[in-house]
Amino acid sequence: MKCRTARRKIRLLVGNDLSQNEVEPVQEHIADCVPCRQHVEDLLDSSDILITYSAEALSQRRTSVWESVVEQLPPQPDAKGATRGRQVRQSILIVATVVAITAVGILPDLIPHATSVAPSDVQAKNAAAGDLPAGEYVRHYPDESWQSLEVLDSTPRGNRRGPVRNVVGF
Amino acid sequence: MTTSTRSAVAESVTTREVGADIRDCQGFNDARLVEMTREGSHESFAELVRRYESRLIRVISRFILDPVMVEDLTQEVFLRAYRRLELFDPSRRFGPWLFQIGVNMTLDYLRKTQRRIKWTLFSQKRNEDQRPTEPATEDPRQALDLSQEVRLVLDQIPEKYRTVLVLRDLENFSTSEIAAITNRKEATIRWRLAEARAKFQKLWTARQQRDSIAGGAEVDYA
Repeated sequence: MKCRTARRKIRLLVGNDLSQNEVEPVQEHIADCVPCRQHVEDLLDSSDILITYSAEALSQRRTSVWESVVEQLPPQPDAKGATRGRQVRQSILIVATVVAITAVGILPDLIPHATSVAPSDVQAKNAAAGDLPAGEYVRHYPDESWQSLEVLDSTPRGNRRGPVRNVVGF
Repeated sequence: MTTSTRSAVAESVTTREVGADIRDCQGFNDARLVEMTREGSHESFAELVRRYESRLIRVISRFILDPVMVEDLTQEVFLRAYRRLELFDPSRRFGPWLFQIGVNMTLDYLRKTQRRIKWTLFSQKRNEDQRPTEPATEDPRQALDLSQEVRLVLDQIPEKYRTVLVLRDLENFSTSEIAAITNRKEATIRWRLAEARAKFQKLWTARQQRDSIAGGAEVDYA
């Protein structure tokens, strides 16, 4: 190894900045070369100065700079407020759902003409009627009149509402 | 767990973290704190500030003497980091990215100051020829402590070498960290580090020899 190359590596060696496989050839050169050995000594002396200087206490702040930094930051979104708003919305939704379910439950009692028909009753009446085509649904009204509704399976969903509105009793 | 349930749980966790107390933030790593800061949490950024401010102040103090200026610059670094947080690549480490901003701002400040000083000196030379000039050589009787001596020598080293020397030998950053901070290849950093140590050693030896000749006695700091 030439002295020029060795000296460049020596400058890294004094700060432990050489990899393990680089160290050995440099050390072999230093052992055989007096001027390079002197170069190591000089570098170690100046390195000691830097270590001493580095260890000297710098003026340390007692308080954090955070207090000054936070004053200049944009306002933080109010996470608690957002949560509270979300909770209120959820509560309103739950109450509305309960009210709707209750209303649906008591609606038949409030409307005297509307009575629920059990599927078995529908089948029995359907069989009794005889003249209705199979697959149709019928609804029984208190005045014993039977009205056929549309065939649900064959009617497009968007059109179901039309014929239903025209049925007597609705 | 359905998608809606999972998203609701994730939302509640995020909400809890955004509104988290500073004690809650201490357990998170830098990447998570950055993510929470992006979502609007000030407390997570406060934790990042508290983690890095001491070292950042130390690094800036190595370049700038005035403690008030050091404090102002430290605040500015954190503010700039906050504003640029959207540009931060989460796959990188936050520390070197922050120190990159810090070192760049410090060097920018030094360059501006030096330009101003040069301009002032130039103006004074042109306009105030009658003023007696300062002695070219320093007064040897003026005693300097070690810190001042080292600072004077460091100031004579070109900026690109001085930066590497300060970060490696005074602040113990690794060469890979310095490469990330200065946005250079690690091989470049090793080259500059070797040069910087050689320059410091030459300047320091020359100064010590001059002092020993002027003072008649060698000062041994080591």
